[in-house]
Amino acid sequence: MALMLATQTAAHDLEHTLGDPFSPDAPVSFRRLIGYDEREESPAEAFEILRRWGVHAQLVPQAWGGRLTSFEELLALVRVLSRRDLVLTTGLGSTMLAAIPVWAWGTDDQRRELARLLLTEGAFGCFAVSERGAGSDFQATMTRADELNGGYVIRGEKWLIGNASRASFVVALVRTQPALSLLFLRPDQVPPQAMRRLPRIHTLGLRGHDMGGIAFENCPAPATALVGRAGRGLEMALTTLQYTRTMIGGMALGAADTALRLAAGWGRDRRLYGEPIMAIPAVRALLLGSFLDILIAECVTTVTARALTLAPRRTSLWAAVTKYLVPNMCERVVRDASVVLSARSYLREGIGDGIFQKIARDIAITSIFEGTQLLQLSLITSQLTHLARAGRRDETVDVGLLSDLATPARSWNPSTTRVRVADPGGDELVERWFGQSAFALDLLASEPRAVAAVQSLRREAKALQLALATNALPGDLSLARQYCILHAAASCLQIWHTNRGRLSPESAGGEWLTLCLERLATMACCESPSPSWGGDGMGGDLGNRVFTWMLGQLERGELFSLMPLELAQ
Amino acid sequence: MRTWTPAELTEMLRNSFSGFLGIDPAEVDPSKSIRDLGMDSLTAMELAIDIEERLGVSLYLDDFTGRETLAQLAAAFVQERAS
Repeated sequence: MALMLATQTAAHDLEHTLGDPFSPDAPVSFRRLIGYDEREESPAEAFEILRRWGVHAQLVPQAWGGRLTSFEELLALVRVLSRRDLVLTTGLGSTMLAAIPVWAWGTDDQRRELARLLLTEGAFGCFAVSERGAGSDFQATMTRADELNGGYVIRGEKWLIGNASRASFVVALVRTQPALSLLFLRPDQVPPQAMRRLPRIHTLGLRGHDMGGIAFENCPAPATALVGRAGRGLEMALTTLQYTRTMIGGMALGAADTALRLAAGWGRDRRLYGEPIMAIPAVRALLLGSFLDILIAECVTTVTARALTLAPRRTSLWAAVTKYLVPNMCERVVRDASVVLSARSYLREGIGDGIFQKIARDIAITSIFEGTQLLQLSLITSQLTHLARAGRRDETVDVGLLSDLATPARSWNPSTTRVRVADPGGDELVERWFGQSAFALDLLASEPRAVAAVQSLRREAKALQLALATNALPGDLSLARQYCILHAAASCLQIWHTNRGRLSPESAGGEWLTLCLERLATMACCESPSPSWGGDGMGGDLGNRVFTWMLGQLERGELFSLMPLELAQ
Repeated sequence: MRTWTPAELTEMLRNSFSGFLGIDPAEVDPSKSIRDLGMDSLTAMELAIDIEERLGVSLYLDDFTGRETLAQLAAAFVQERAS
C-alpha cells in the first residue's frame, strides 16, 4: 500500500466511499455516469452520495463550521472526484467559486448564512459574472444594480453560468456606483419573475452540468447583499479566480488519470501481431510521455495549491501559469491516450463503459472556462513585464516549505485574504534558472541527460531574461509560454529536491525528473511536444524504469502520482 | 475623506505610479499617455489598490477609462468626487 500524506486522507475516504468506478455495482460507477451523460441529465444520485458523505463541509472553512483546511487538501479531493466525472467537480466547483468571495470579504452574517446553506442544505451556488456581451471583458458588464430605498434594484441578464437553475445562492457581478460590485443573492427571497432562470444551454461536454443563465427583472436586493466594498467587485472576482483556476488543474489531472489508466490497461491487455501493443515503441512512448505529463502537471498544481496559503501574493502569477499549462498537458494526455486506444476511443461503449469519449469531451472545458489559454498568457505577460520593471516588492518565499509535501500547507484563513490582481511581488521558482549556477545541478551531475536538459532550460531562461530586461516581449505571447515551461521545470526540480528523502525508491531516484526536464526542454525549444528518444521510443534505461514504475501504479490501483493514493478497486 | 486639488492628486499619482512601475519619477510626465508609460488594465487595478491602501484615495478601473494622462485622471477624479 502506498504511503499516504495527511492531505490525502479525506480524498482516500471519498474515493473508497464512491467505489471502483469500473465496477457497475459501485455506488458511483462509470456505467451509471455514462447513462446520465447520454440523457443530458444531472447525475443526481451521485450528488446525493457526495452530499451524504459531507462534501459540502469541504467547501466551508473550519472557522465557519466546515472541514476546509488547505487548498492542497481540496486539490486531492478534486483529483479523485474528477477521475470519475468532471460534471460532479464542475457542479461543486461552481459552488465554491461563488462561496470564496463571501468567505473572503463577506460580512459575518453573510458567512453564517452561506455556512448554513452548504452544511445543512447541501446547496449549489452560482457565480454570475459572464454575460452574452461580456466574457473575459468584465468591464463590459451591463447588469446594473441601482440604489433604491436603501437597497438595490437589479436589471440585466447573466448568461453561460454554472448551476444557473439549481443555485440556492448567487454571487453576481453588477454595475453599481462607483464601479462594479459583488452581490450575495438568494433566489428564494425574491419574487419568482424577478430572478428568472433562462433555458438550459447545450454543450459539447459536461452534458449533465446545469449550464444556463439568469435574467434579473427589477430584482430587489437589500443593502446587506453587498459583498466587501462597493466598487471593488472586479478586483474581488479576479482574486477569487486564482483559487478556482488552481483547482481546475486538479480537475484536468483527475480526467487525465482515467484517460491514461484506460490507455495503459489497453496497451497491456490488447495483443496484436503476437504481443501486447505496448511492446510497440511508439505506443510505449505515448504512454510514458503521458505519465510524465501527469507528473509535471502534478508538481505545478501542487506548488500553486500550497502557495494559495503559503505564498498568496505569488498566485496572481502562478495560478495563471497553472491554468495555462496543466489543462494543456492533460488534454495532451487524453489525445495521446486516444491514439493508443485507437478505434476504441471513438466508441460510446466497451472499455470503461464508454467513459473515454466522455472524458475527451469533458476535459475540453478545462482550457476554456475561468479564462481561456490566451487570457492566461496575457495575464502572465502583463505580470512579467511589471515584475521585470518593478523588481522584487515582497519578502522572499520559503520554497523549501512551499514544496515540502510532508508538511501540510497552512489552513486558509479567509478573513486575511487580500485583494491581489496582478502584482506577484516576485517569483522564486523561475528565478532558479536565472542564477549563476543551476539549482541542484550538483545532485544531478551523475546523469548526463539531466545535465543536458538543465543546460538547455538555462539557455531558454537566459533568452527570456534578456527579453524581459529589454522589454521586448512579443505580442504573440510566446515568451509567456516559455515562462510557464520554465516554471514547470523549476516546480519539478524543487519538489524532487525537497522530498527525495521520503519519496518511494522509484521517485526518489530522479529518473522521472530527468525525463520530465528533457520533455520540458524539448517543449521550450520546439513546438513539437515529443522528445527525440531514439529508436526504442523509450528514452533508454531511464525510460524503461519509469515505464515499469507507471505500470506498477496501474497494477496496484494507485492514482498516477509521485505520491500515489490507493484507489478503490 | 479629505479633498484634493487636481495638482496635489497629480503629484501623488505620479509618485505612486513611478514607484509601482519601478521607474524614475522624473520619467513620469503627467501629460504623457499612461499606456505609453507601461500601464495596462491589470496594473491600473493594482495601482488603484496600492493608492487606496497608502493614501486612502479610492480609484477604480472605470476612472482610467477614457483618461489618457495622469493629469486628466486626477482632474476627472476631483471633479467627479466633488459633484
